[in-house]
Amino acid sequence: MTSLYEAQRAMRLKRRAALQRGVVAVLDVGTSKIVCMILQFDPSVQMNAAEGMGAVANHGSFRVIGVAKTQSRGVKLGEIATMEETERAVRTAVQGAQKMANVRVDHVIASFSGARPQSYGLAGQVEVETGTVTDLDIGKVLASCDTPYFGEGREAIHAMPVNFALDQNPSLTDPRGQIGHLLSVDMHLLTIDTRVLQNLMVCVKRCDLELAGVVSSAYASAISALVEDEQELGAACIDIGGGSTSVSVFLRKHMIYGDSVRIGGDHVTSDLSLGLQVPKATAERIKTIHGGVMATSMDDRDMIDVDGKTGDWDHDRRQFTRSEIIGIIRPRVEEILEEVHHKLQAARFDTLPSQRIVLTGGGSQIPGMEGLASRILGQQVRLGRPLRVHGLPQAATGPDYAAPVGLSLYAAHPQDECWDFDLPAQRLGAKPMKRALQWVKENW
Amino acid sequence: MQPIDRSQPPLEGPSVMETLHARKEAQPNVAPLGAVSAAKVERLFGQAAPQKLPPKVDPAPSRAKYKMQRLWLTPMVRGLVCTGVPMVAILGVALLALSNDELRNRVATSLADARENIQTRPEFQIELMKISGASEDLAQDIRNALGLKFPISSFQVNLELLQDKIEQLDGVYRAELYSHSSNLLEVKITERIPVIMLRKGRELDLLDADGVRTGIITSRLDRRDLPLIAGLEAEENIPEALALFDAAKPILPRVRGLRRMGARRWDVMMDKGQIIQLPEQNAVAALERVIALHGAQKILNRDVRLVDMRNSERPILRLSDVATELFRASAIPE
Repeated sequence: MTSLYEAQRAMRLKRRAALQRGVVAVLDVGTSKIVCMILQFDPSVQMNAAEGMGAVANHGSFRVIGVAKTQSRGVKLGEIATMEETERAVRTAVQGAQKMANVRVDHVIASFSGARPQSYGLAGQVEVETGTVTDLDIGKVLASCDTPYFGEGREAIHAMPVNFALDQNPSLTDPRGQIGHLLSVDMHLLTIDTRVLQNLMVCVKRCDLELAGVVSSAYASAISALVEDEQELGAACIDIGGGSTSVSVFLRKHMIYGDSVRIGGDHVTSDLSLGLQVPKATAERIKTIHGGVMATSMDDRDMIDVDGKTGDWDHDRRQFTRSEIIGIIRPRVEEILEEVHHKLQAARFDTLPSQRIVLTGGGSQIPGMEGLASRILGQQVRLGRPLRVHGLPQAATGPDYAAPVGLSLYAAHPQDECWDFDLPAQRLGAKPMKRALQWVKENW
Repeated sequence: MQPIDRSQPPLEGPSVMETLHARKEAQPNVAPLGAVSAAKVERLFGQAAPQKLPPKVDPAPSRAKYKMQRLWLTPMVRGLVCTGVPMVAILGVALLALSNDELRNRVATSLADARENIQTRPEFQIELMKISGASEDLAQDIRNALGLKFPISSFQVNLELLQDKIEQLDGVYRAELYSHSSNLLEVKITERIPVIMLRKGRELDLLDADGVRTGIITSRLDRRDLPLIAGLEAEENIPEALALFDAAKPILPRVRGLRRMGARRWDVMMDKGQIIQLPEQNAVAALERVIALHGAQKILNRDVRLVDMRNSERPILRLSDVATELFRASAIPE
C-alpha cells in the first residue's frame, strides 16, 4: 500500500498545482466517446475554499471553457485495448478542447469505467493519544484498517473514510478536535486492475499531459447525477455507458459501493447488427433513432427502412417494424438491468433507508427505459441528468455527459481520501531510516 | 420476431433487365462501364454509380501538430512570436540602415529636397508686398527696414518678426500683416500722428500724443501748425502741455512755446521774452487766471518781463528794468 500511497500523494500535489494555476482538464475515456473538458478556476474563490468555505460555495468557483468530444477508438469494455488508437483519440479530444478554450492544459484528471472495480468495506480502531482527536489520530486510524488481499495485479483507486465513530457517537463526518477515547473508522476501498490504470497513465503521458487524479466513472457520474438528498439518504446511480455499465451506491454523501457490469450500449448495437444483418454504424443509427424497450401496437405498423449497404438490391431495401427492433433491443437491456440488480443485491442495497435508483449515461436515453428499469430494479427509478455547470454548452448537458461533469465537480471539490492524511511513520517502512542515513552520509 | 419479408417489391413498368436488353438491342456497341458517365449508368441501371469517395482522413492530429498547437498556446512563446520577434526585426533593420553612412546621407538629402520642393511651390510664393495706410516716405522706410527680396517662400517669412520690426519704426503706431493666398503680403499700417514738437538741441522731434517720436525736422518752420515744447522730460507730459496750449488759445499768437523747468513744471514762453511761470499743480487754472488778468488789464501788453504764478496766493509780476526805473521815479513823492 505504501507505493500506492506515494503515487496518489504525488497526483494530489499535481492537482493542487493545477488548481493554483487555475486551469485543469478532465478526461473521460469511455468506450463509445472520449470527452475532454477544460475548467478554469477562479483563484479568489479557491483562496476562500482554503479558509474553509463549504462545498456549495465551491461549485460556482469553476467555469467550463472548453469541451470536445470525439469518437472513442481502441477502447473496449471501458479499458484501453489499442494504445496507439486511444492516444490518437485522446489527442483529438484534448486538442479540440484546447482550441475552444485557447488555453494550454498540462494537468488532467481522468476517469474510466472498466477495470473490474471491486468494493471493500474496511474498519479500523485506535485509542486517541491526547484525548483530543487530531490529524495524526485520523492518519493512524486509517492506517489501522485491515487491508484484505485484493488479488494479484490490483490496486486501490479510492479509499475514502465514510464514517467515523468516537466512543458512543456512531456517526461523525469529521471527528477532528472532538474529545474522546476510542476512535474507529469505516473506510470504503475501491480496487481496480493495475494494468488498466497503467495503460491509461502511459496513454496520458504520451499526450504530454500529467495525470493529476484518477476517478472511477461510477463515482464521477454519481456525484453529478444524484441530487444532495439522494446522496444523503441512500441511492444507486446506474451509468449505462457504451461498453460497460457502472453501478455505485451512495449513503450519507459517501460512496459505499461501486461496481461495473461489463455490458453496455455497444452490445445492444451489435445485437441489432447481428439480428438485422446490417453494419454496426447503421445499427447504431437505427438504435438511436428508432430504438425503444416498450412495444405498443402502434409500433407494429411503424415500418423502418433498413439499408444494409451491401449493394444487393434486395438486401438494401428491407423494412422492419419498430416492434421487431424493440424485440431485439429489449432482451439485452433486460440483461443489463438484471446484472445491475444482482450487483445491488450483493451490495445489500435493499437495506438502505431510501432505495432511489437513478439511471444516467447514454444508454438511459432509450425510450421506455424508466418503465423497464422500475420493473426490474424497484419502484423508485428516475432518469438523471448531470448537474448544471457554469459555462457548459447545451450540447454537453445530456445524461451521456454525467461522468465528465461529475469529474469536473470532483476536481472543484475532491473528497478526502485516505492518502490526504499523513500516515504515522512506522507504516512508511524503512524509508525515513534510509533518509536519515543519507543525510548523515552527505553532511559528514 | 417476425420472419423477414423477402418478397419482391412491386415495380412499375418494365423491369431493369428488360430495359437493359431493349437498349442493348437498339445499340449493340455499348461502351464499357468505366467509360460511361455516372448519369448514363443511373439511367441504365436505375441506381447511382458509386462515386469516388475522398480518401479517409484520420481526424486525430499528428503528434507533431498536437505539440505545435500546445506550444503555440503557451503564453510566453506566443508573446515572444507576436511581439518579441517583430520588434527585434524592426529594430535590427533600423539599426542596419542607420549604421550605413551613405544611406543615412541619402535619406537626409532626400528629406531636405522634399522640403525644398514643397516650400518653393508657386502656391507658397510671395511675390508682392502691399503697404496700406502709410505715407510714401514711411512705406519706403518699411520696405528698407524689412529688406525682403521677392519672390520669397511664405515658409521663410515670419510674420510676427516682421510685425515687430515694422512697429519699431518711427511713425508706425500699429502694423497688421496678412499673407494672402494670392501671393500677396499685405501690410496694414496705422501711422502715428505728430501733435507736438520737442526741441532737442538743433533738431526738432515730432511727437504724437503718447510722447513717441514720429519724425525729426531741422527747422521749426517746416511744421508751423504744431506747438513747441522744450526742456527736461518734456516729452513725458505731453497731455498737460496740450491742455495748456488749449487754454492759451486767446493769446496763442503770442505764445512761442512751453518749457519744462527742472522736470517739474512749465514755463510759458511768450514773444518779446515774456515768461509766465506756472505751478506744478493746477497749471491750466493758473494760466487761465493769467489770461483772465490779461483780458481785464492787458498786463501782457505792458512792459512786464515775468508773471510768476508758482504760488497761487501770491502772483508776482516782474517789470522790465526800464519800467522799474519809471515806476520808482513816479512812486517817489516829491
